[in-house]
Amino acid sequence: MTLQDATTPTSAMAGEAENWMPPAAPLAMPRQSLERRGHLAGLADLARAFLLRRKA
Amino acid sequence: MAPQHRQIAADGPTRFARAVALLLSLGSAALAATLLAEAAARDGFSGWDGLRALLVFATTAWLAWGASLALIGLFGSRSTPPRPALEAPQPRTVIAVPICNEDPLTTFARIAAIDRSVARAGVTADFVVLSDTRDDALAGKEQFAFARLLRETEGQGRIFYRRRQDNAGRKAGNIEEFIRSYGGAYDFAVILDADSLMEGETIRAMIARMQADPQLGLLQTLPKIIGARSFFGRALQFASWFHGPIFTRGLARMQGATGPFWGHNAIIRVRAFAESCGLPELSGPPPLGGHILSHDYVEAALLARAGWKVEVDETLSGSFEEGPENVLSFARRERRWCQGNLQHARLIFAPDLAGWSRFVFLQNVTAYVVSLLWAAFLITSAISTLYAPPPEYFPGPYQLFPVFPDTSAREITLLALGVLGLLVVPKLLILIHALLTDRARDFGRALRMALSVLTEIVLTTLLAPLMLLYHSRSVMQVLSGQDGGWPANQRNEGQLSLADGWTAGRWIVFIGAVILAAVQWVAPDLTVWLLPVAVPMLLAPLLIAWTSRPLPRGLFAVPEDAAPRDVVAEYDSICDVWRLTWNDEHLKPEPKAADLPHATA
Repeated sequence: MTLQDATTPTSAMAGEAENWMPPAAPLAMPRQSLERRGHLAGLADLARAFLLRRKA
Repeated sequence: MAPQHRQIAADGPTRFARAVALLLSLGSAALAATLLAEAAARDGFSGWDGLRALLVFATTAWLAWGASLALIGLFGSRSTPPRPALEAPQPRTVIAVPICNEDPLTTFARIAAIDRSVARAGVTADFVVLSDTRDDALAGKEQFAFARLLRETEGQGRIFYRRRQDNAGRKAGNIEEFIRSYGGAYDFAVILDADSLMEGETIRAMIARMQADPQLGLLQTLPKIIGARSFFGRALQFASWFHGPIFTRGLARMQGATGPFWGHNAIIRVRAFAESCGLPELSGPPPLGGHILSHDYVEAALLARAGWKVEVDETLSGSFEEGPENVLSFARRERRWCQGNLQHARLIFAPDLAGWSRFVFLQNVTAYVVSLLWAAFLITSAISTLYAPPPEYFPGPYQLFPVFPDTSAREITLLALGVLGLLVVPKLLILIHALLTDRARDFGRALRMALSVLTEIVLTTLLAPLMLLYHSRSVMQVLSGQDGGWPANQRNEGQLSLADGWTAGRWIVFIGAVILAAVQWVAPDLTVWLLPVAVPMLLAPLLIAWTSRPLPRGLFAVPEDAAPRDVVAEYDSICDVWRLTWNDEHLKPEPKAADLPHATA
C-alpha cells in the first residue's frame, strides 16, 4: 500500500497552508467571569506577592 | 434552544449519597483524631499533639472520602441510565481530536478505526483534527498522515485538519478556537484525546442521550486503559477496568447532575458549551495565574452554573484511552495535574457556582495538598517525641516495684489498622462483589482475579511513599512559583534501566535515608512504624525500574485481553499496515500544502 495516489485534501476551504477545514460557521463564546472583583482580589494579590517567589 | 438559567438542584438520592459520604468521612476522621489524642495524652498533651490530631483528622477524612466512593458505588441504589434510540434526522455531530506533538501514525490510525466503527454504527459525523503541534517537521508528518487518512477513508468533505499558528490557551484554547470558528455547524461535539478510542455504538448511544435530553450539556464516559505492557501499566490498566467502574458509579451517584468532565471521551452540546465555557485567564502570573490548566473541571462547573446537566455514565462501554507505562511518566502527568488542580483553589469562591462545584474544586486541591499533610504528620510525630517527658518508673518516694509507662500501643495500632483499612477494604469489597457476581469471568476467573487485586494493593502500597514525595514536591514547586507548563504527553515510553531509576529516584533515597536516620536517632521507638514508608523510599530506583519491565499476560487480566473490541482490533491492524508502508523521511521540515500530493510511502 502506498501513498503515491494520495491527493491534496479536497476539503480545503481556507487559503492557509495548514488548514483543511469546512466552511466557517462562527459561534459566539463569551468570556466567563470566574474571579470576584474588589478588596478580596486585592488581598489575594497581596498574599501572593508575599507567599510566592516570582521567578525572573 | 434557550440557555438554562436555573441551576439544577440535587435530587433526593444524590443528597443522600453526599450525606452518607460526608458522615463516613467526618466520622472516620473524628475517630482517628480521638485515638491519636488519647494515645498522646498518656504522657501529657502538647501543642504538637494537637497539630498531629488535626493532621490525622484531615488525612483520614480524605482517605475515607475515597473509600466512601467505592462503598456508595457498591451498595448505593441508582436507576439504570436511559438508553434512548437515535432519532432521525441525526443531529449534526463532530468528533474533535485536539493534538499537540503526538505520534501522527497512531493518532491518525485511531481516527481511521473510529471512522470505520462509526460508519458500522450508522452514525453520520464529521471528524476534525485540531493540531497545536509546535514542531514543523512533526506537523508535516501529521499532514502526511492526514492525506493517507483521507485517501483510505474517502474522507474528503467530512474529515478535516487544521494547525493553529499559535497555541494560545493550550488544549482548552484549541477547542475554543474551533467552536468560535466552526461550532455553528454542529449540535454536538465528541471530544477525544490523541490516545482515545471509542466504538461507534458508544458514540451513537451518547448522541441519542444528548438528543433525548435537551437539558444535558455534557455526558462523560469512563475511559478504560488499553494497550498497557509494563508491570506498572498493566496494574493501572487492571485498576481502571476492575475498580474504575465501581468508583465511578459512586461518583455518579454522589455528583448527580453536577458531574465531572475529564477533558476527553465525552460529548458536549456545542451551543451550551459556547454560551457557558469561554474561559478567562486568571489574574496574575503562572503557576497559579494565567491560563486555566485543568480546564475540564472548570468547564463542567460553568455548564452547571448555567443550568445544564453534566453527567457521567460508567455503563457506556467502548470508551478507551492509554495510560502511563512507568512511575516517571505517571509522576510527570501528576505534576501537570497538580499545577492545574492547585489553580482551582482560586475558583472555589467564583461567583454563582453550584455548591457542589465549589466542593469539587476543594477536593481537587486536597488531592495533592494531602500528601504534604501526610509528610507534616510524620515530621510532627517525630518532633513530638522530643518534647515527651521521660518515663518515670518510680513516681512514689518508697516504691518497691517500678511502674512501666503506658505505651498506648493499642490506640496507635488501631489507628494504623484503620488507615490501612480505608485504603484496602474498599478494594477487597469490590473483589468480593466480583466473586459473587459474574465479573470474575472477565478478569481471568476467581483465583487470577484475586491475585491481581492483591498484587495491585501491594504495588500501590509500595509506591505510595514515592507518590507522597512526588506530590509533595509538585505542590512545593507550584507554591514557590515554578511553572511546569503543560508539556505534551510522552506516550509509549520504554522500559527504564536501574540507572534511569537511580537518576530519577536518588533524591527519594536520600530523603528516605535522612528520615530513617533522624527518627532512629531522635525517637528509636518510632522507627518500626516508619519502616513501611522508609523502605520503599530506599528502594525507589529499584521500584521505578522494575515496575517498568514488560509483564507477560496472565496477571492483571482484563476483558480486553481475551476479546479485543472491534475498534481496538481494527486500530491494531491499521497500525500494522501503516507501519509497514510508512516512510515520511523525505518530508521537508516545513512542508507546504503542495507537497502533500507527492508524499510517498
